[in-house]
Amino acid sequence: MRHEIEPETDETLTQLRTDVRALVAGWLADGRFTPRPDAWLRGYDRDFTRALAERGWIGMTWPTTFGGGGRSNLARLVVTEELLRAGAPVAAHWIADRQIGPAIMRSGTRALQEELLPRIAAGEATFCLCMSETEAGSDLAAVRTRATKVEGGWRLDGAKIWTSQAHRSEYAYVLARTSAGGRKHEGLTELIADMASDGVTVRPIHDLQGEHHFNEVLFDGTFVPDRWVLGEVGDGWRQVTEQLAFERGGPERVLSTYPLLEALVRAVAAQGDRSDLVMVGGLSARAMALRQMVWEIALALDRGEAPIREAAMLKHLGTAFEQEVAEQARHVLGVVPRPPGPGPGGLLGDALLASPGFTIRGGTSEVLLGIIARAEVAP
Amino acid sequence: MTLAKSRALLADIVVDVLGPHVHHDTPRHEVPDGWSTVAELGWPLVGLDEAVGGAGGTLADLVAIVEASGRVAAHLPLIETALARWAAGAAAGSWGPTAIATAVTASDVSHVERDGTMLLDGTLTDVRWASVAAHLVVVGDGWTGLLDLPSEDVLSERAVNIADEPRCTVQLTAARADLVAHVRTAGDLRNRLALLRSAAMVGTAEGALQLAIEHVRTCEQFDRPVAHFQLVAGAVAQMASEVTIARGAVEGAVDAHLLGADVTARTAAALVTAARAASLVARSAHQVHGAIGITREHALHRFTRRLWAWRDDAGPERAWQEHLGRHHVHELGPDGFWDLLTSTCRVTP
Repeated sequence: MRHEIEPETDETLTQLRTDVRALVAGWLADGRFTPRPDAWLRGYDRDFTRALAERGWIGMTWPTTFGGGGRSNLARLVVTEELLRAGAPVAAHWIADRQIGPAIMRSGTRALQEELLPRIAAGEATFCLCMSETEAGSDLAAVRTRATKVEGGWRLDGAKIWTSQAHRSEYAYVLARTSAGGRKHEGLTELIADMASDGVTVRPIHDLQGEHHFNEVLFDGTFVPDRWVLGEVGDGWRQVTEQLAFERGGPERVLSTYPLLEALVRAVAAQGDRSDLVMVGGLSARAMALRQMVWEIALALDRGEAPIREAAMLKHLGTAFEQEVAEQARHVLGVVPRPPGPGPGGLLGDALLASPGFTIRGGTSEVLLGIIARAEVAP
Repeated sequence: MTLAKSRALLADIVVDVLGPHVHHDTPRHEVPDGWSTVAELGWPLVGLDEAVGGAGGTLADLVAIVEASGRVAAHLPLIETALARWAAGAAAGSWGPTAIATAVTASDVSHVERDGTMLLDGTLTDVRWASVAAHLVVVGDGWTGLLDLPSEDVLSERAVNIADEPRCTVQLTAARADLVAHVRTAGDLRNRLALLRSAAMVGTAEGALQLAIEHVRTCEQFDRPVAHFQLVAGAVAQMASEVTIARGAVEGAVDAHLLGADVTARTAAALVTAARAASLVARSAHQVHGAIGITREHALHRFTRRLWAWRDDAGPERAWQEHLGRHHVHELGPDGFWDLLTSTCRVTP
């Protein structure tokens, strides 16, 4: 997967950060989006996605030959953390940019890379994740969706759940079983499906905020051409495990409630006492240490590593921090949590209602602790 | 060899050197076994310029040595002597190579100059290793004084902290001190002590974690290793996560010290993170060891007593937390804190 990346300097990264802030400030001044927590899941805006694509800020780490930016994961971190802080609407392209593109880079054929990467980088091709099933969430290897060999490709049959944005994605990443009979971790394959294909049905699931991002996705004889198999047939488990390092190790596992932290700090500045300063100091130290971890993971990715253990630790500690921010804000903001909307009450309400998902999505904290424990205790 | 690999090699060397000298019961007010080896290897001089008698290398190397010493729960005045040499500057050039030294900030000490020397009066509490030190460096507001110990003007009341490390009350009565070039401020000294103590906590927590891992792998209950039980495995994972994040925070603080940027803020973040890891590891390591871990005979207490002692050894953890909060709320504000948060200093590892 190693290819030449542009070496970064403090100057190039600072300039990039300035440019992102300028775009965001312009959009905010024009009233084109409302900042909100958890925007990488809930803030869906294809126009904003295209605006980022025009500036080369989608697919930043992929080679320029595939429409990417040829830049480092450090550069991608700078862009994504500024967007997350601003609560900007990045949900449409987030999955494709964060993990599907890198998976195609690692495991896809040259033809697949040429076919899909430029369209993702242009903000035209978005992806949803068809991984979990009702009987296979934490136990992802237990998936039962089948991919059966047919002429020229595969036939998909099965039902996926918790698929965010499936109702408006062009493509799906699908983890399916291509052979049974061995251990359940064997016989899994990663495939890409066109959501407009025959046999695809999407049913909405509304979350407790009443928002629609989750879906069920039913595949009934959906055809996937051979060229859309990602990597090796039967090597899906090893591949998806690597993909999860990308999914778990980023700033969105720390910054989901950052707008609320800033509101908390403003409240303490206005009317906080000494114990509030101690509390803010604790949150500040944690945020700084977590950001250091995110940085180190980005460096590891740039070295061509797959920091699975570190990403699991980061997600566990980071999502706990996100929840802690919501709880501490409750104490100092002095407002009743309200339905998501402008103002401190709405910001608090938005964060509280989103908060249970942090430690569940992308691998529950319990699963992550199990992964970490096995890595530590293994002889 | 990459920087990370050379630091790992240095850590292995430290652990190998210290291994034979780590004893179960440490004498309290004596020069520890292994100190002369450590001093002759020049470890207290690492991070100091060779031109002033130092061993070369950087603060990052000293931090790596200190962390590795923590992993074997070594009983050594390494941090204290390194800090004292750093605070004394060129004046430490005349010290013997194995001299033990310690440095303090002079909060309650008055000084007058008479006939080219200084006379110091006051009481210093919890002076680290004062009962064994040959030199005491006092860093005041715009001045630095050097005293040779023992001295009839300097009375040390011997006491220890819960890790059996000397923490003495020192009474100065018209104590003669040499006025030396004032190169370090009290704030500099506090920051460097906090950084080194954070590194020591990270290493010591790692050592306790390794004991815990060995224990849960081998001790069996209900016909299986206790590591099998989810709650026990979860406790190991929590410890490992806290040690990892604390190590990263210390590295971030080392970068800040080397670059001279946001030094106090990053030091505070490192100390608070390391202290939090120390608290969790001390509690959880004992919990997974069961009763054997609370015996004198078992090695665990050497690690956990240090962790409990060191959380507030560079000033109260809570004070560092409050300082960082005050800095965030009243000096940086949200925009300034975001800049601090995202200002990681190293572009290349």
